[in-house]
Amino acid sequence: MKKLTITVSCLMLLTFVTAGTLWAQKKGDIELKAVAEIEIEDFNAEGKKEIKRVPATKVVPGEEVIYTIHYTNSGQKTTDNVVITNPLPEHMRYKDSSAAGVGATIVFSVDGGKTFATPENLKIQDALGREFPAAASDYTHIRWVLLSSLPLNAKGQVGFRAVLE
Amino acid sequence: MKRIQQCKLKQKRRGTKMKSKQNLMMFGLVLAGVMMLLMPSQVMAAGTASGTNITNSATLDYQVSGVDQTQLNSNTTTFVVDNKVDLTVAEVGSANVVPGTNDQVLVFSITNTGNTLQGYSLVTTDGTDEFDMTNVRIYLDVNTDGLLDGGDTLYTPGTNIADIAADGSIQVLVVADTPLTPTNGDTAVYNLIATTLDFGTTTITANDSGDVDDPLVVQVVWADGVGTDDAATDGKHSADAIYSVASADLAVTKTQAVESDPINGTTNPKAIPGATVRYTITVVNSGGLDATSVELVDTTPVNTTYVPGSITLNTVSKTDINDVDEADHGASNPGAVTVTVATLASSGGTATITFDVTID
Repeated sequence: MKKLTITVSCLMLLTFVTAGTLWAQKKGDIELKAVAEIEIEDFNAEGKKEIKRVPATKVVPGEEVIYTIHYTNSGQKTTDNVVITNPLPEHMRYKDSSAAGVGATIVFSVDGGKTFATPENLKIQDALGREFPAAASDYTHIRWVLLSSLPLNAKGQVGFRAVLE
Repeated sequence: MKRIQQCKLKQKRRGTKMKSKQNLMMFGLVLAGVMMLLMPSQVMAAGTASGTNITNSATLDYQVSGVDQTQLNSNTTTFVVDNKVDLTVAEVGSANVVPGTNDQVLVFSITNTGNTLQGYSLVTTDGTDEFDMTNVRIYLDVNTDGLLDGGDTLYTPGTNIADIAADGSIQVLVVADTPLTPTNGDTAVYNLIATTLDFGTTTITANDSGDVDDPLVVQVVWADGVGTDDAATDGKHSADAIYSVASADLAVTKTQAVESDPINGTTNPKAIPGATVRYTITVVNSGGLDATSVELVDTTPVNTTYVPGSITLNTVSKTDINDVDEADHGASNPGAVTVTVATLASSGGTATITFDVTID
């Protein structure tokens, strides 16, 4: 019950929510565009089956969603130490090894975004204080740390896949 | 901006993790490294409830000339969780029945394994079997005890038996009467088919899988498997259960042997007037249930005379008078040997009765 309340109140605050992917938010020097898609099987012009990506609109539990964040340095200065952080949406479970981003170090958090580390260094603790290696289902955040500066007009994308629980 | 960030903060907390974060804040606990408390998952087997909006966004932090800049936010993507129709009908109990008995019960469970509240209509169909029961009807097992009792409600065909929430289940009874005709080991098989309805209605839930996507409207996807009498992804599921006839099954055989004659004695005696003939009657119960109050009556054959005191039951001598020893001659039934066996056990219980006559 509580989860639903939170989701609804977020929608009320975010008055610019629209379906699927959509427009980028221009604030500061870097443009960010978040996209959510699913893969479907379709027939191409030759009548052969192919996999297509379409905006995620109708998703049932168990389906996989592809999240992509496009970034562009649309400002007037080179930007350094760019870090993109994506909190895992509620009800979505990160798909192991699906995070991608050319030119970025990818780290994860299992403690609500307080600390980040690479998968092999992530640990969780049970009620008795015993440590276990964290699994993809424990991740709460994904973070991409771009390895080099972004000169003017440089662009790129990072992404990951998650499964609707 | 602040309000939005607040919203994002809430979103960052996933179900159970929120609890742990609150605990951490309350107790000022600082975790070393990257550890967190593992809590049991709160995700239901059926999946996220339909109609739930799933939103995602990212933040970006950067510097210009070594100076931290204001954090940036992406747009928020959103999609709605659609209705995944799935259900399981399962046999909970079959029944052993005795011919001629009424209100015999098969027990089924119906579980909503989808992610949305649904109603269900029910129907029974006949399986491959040796006989059919009569007066077949369906009851909702209100107190889920697997028995037909006063509180259970009779189901009217075509109506919604009950609304079941995601991950919920109900128990249903198929009740029928046993005809007298079937014999030990015969079976009557019934499938119970449940069809998914829109909750609170008798409208069959339609499948939207072939329709164009509508991102803001909850649409329906059939995801059910195949049961004993339905197809996969048809919004239905079924299972079967069996009425098995368990009854006593008696076989009687009678043999005779000449014991002695006046001329040969007991050496190769012949069936001549004056000879003593011993009748042996064997009753065997090869059925699945004990037979009770088995009464054997054997009239003394014409042209013979009963030898007084000659009755034996399982090698024990019995008196001719109608007393408590379960056998008599000429009392219960004139001119006949009457033997009563209180219980003839199932699966091979045997009673052996002998009595002698002389040939007139």
